[in-house]
Amino acid sequence: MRLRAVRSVDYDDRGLEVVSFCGHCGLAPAATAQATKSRVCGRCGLGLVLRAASDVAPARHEPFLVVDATLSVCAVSARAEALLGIDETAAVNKHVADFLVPADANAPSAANLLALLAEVASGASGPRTAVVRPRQEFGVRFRARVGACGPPQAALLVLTS
Amino acid sequence: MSVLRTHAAAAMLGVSPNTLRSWERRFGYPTPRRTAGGHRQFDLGEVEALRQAFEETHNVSSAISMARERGCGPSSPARLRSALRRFDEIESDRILEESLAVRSVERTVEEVLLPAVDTLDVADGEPPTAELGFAWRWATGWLAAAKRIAPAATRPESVLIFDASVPCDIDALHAQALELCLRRAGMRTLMLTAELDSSRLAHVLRTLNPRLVVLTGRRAWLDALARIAYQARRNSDFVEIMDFRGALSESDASAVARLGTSAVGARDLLLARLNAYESAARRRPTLAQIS
Repeated sequence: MRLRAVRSVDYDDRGLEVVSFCGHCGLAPAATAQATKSRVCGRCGLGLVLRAASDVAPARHEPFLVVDATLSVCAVSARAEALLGIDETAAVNKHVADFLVPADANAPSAANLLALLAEVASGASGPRTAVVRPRQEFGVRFRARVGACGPPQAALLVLTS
Repeated sequence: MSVLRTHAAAAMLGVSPNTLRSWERRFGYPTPRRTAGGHRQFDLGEVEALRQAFEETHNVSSAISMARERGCGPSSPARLRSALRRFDEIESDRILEESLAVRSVERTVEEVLLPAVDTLDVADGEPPTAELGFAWRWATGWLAAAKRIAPAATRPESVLIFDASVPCDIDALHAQALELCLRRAGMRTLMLTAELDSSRLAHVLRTLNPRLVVLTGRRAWLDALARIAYQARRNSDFVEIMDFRGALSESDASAVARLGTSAVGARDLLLARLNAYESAARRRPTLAQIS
């Protein structure tokens, strides 16, 4: 049995299933004594442990970004670094629109994605989906799951396909 | 300056020592200094700032970015050392200004300025590095500026400091720090080179009539220091000769009081000594009372 595939499930105040994952490698935190003392992921050492609803949290193979209420990128997973060709160290504190823009034909403007992220990051909206593309790429589209994560509260944008 | 070894810093952050070393390679933060044996020593302020940032963000790189931007709250020797290594005068000034917001001038000098320059010091006999040269001149300028704005003397006694160091000696900065501390404590002070010729030395001693003479710096010959002590004692019966930071070796100076190595500690000892003289003088009966 591969322990890293096992994800501990918890429940939030509203009774929703929440899971913990690393903000960089996306894996569930290791069940060690050290992991209970710190938020730093014991597996990769580059992410902090975040929590999100189980239907929003990324699966092992899914790239994701974490964006705060000011729409600044707070975390980029290792897979998202590879997929988008960006370096997390350079990407943090930059505006999310520097990397991703909406690619939904029905979306009236780019502001929709940003408004959605801001709403989710501030806790005003539940999980949603969007279609996005890398800023400088055309013909590539990703379906994205957007939901709240934390602490501290932020929007989790998981690129699915 | 509070420092932590790798294991202690890692334990404080709840990570393994290997993770901490990998952050140093990947992000260049926290930046440890090395002991003579090559062991890492992490600045407590940086580790504490990072730990705090972990509570407020989502990833290690953003936490490090946050800790760097905030500058670890109160200024630390590590931040000042980093600025000095980059020859960044403006940043160095800013770090000390920040420190003055939360520390006294004396504590800023003792806890931030001197430890930062100390870490850039080179081994005896080696020429100073460019970083040390820059740091030393910048620190000298800062201490001189602080001395200029020190309040006027409030005590009648004067303290004469003979400094036997040369430019880029760390001892010279400590001597200037001592002078600054004494001036801020209300004393009249004058710092001169220990290589003064006899006639000028006698003139200075007669003019100032110092209560205390402090010898500092480790570059003077013993006979030069002995000449100062002899002339000072010949000038006044009440003068006391003291050593700051080992100007005289232990075997040479059994009659010379030691002020230790800290400017603030030395100031406290000098003040205690002067206060003791003052109260003894008040208790001493005058000629009129005797008759």
